[in-house]
Amino acid sequence: MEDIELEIKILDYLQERLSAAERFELEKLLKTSPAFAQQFAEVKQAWEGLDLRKAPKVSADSKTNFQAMLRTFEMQQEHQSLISRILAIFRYKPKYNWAYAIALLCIGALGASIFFRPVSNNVIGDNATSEMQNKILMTLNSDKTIERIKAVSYVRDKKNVNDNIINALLTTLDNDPNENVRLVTLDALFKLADNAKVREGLVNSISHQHTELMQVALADAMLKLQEKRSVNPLKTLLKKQDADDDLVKKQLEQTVQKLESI
Amino acid sequence: MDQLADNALMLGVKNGELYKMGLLFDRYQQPLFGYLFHQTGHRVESEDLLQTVFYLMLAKRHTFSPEGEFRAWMYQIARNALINSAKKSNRMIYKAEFSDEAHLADNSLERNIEVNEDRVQLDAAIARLPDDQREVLILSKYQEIPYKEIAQILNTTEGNVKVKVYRAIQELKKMHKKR
Repeated sequence: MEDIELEIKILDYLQERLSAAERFELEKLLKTSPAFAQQFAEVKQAWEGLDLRKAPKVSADSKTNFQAMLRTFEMQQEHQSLISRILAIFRYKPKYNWAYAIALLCIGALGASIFFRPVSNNVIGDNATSEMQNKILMTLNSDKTIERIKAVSYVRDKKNVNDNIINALLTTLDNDPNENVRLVTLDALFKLADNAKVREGLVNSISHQHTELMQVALADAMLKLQEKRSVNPLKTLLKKQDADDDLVKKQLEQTVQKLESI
Repeated sequence: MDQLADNALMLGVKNGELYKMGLLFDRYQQPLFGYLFHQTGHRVESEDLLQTVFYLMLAKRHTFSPEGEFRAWMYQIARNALINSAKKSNRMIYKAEFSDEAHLADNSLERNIEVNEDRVQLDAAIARLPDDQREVLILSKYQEIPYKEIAQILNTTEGNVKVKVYRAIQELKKMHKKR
């Protein structure tokens, strides 16, 4: 048996890792071979001498520190989970904000085509009947979300709308309790952004939005419209951001930076 | 230790039951602290590293595979934490600052002095060992981990581990012969 193999066997013996048969063989060799007995004694001394260096007991604070760390970690995870859920929406923002809005609008448009009579010249306002205008305004105030979406969808298809409708849409954008309605309304108003009143209304709406989705969607719209007047309200929004909402905050900061560099 | 139970607990942690890490902490805080203490020779640093290792296990829980052994995975993380800590402070892992009163037995003054001298010699011998030999010695002697599992932790062969243990023992034998 080679020296290394033999000494590893001695170590295994000292750590009680040998089978009964192996142990018997080794003990037999110990009794019959003085050279091996000497080698055994040296390895044993070296191995057991290490016991002088046994580690002290871990401090009593260790568990408390661990529990504090675990609690912090759990809180971070919960927070990140919330952020990632929001970001999962934002990550697909081009698809979600607009594609989802379009999907809702398609549903709305289908309903609108049944609910409202078609207006031949694509204009609501001066050329539309007051009856139609009243119907739209009334529907925007409906208790049913789908009805409000239908009304917004109907308006969205028109090239020109009068101030009454614009005011109603801006009110919906700021105050509708349903985020999907507000999102569809934003899309409808975005298409009317050539209108100065609409642009101004969109800028003013920034301070009315309380959900991160709408805040980021509006910031995105401002960037697309290159609307520099939105910088200040966006900065105000940034100040109100929870310090932990790093990802939303970062997105808003980037929007401000880009708008300032225009 | 019941490896199956360890794996089941860690799998729970991986699946979001983070509180189960508390059970693993109860089970492994002392052995892991011992490993870190023997590696660094420094109590306070080892306590800090202990927390770091458990934090890293939480953060890297997705890398745990239930087909592997929890203990080997844990020591791999601990090893990397040690290496990174040494890199950050730009020093060797082993600092040989053993000075713990815990090692002084409740004996006579003479006996304590004798023990202390032995320990100083042992510290010097351990400090002289190459890092890889010291590491296998610690894992084998103090952690009582079988060679096969040490090989898994160090990503090497069982034969290589045995050779390193053998060489480390030769160095310690030399120390004892000189006395």
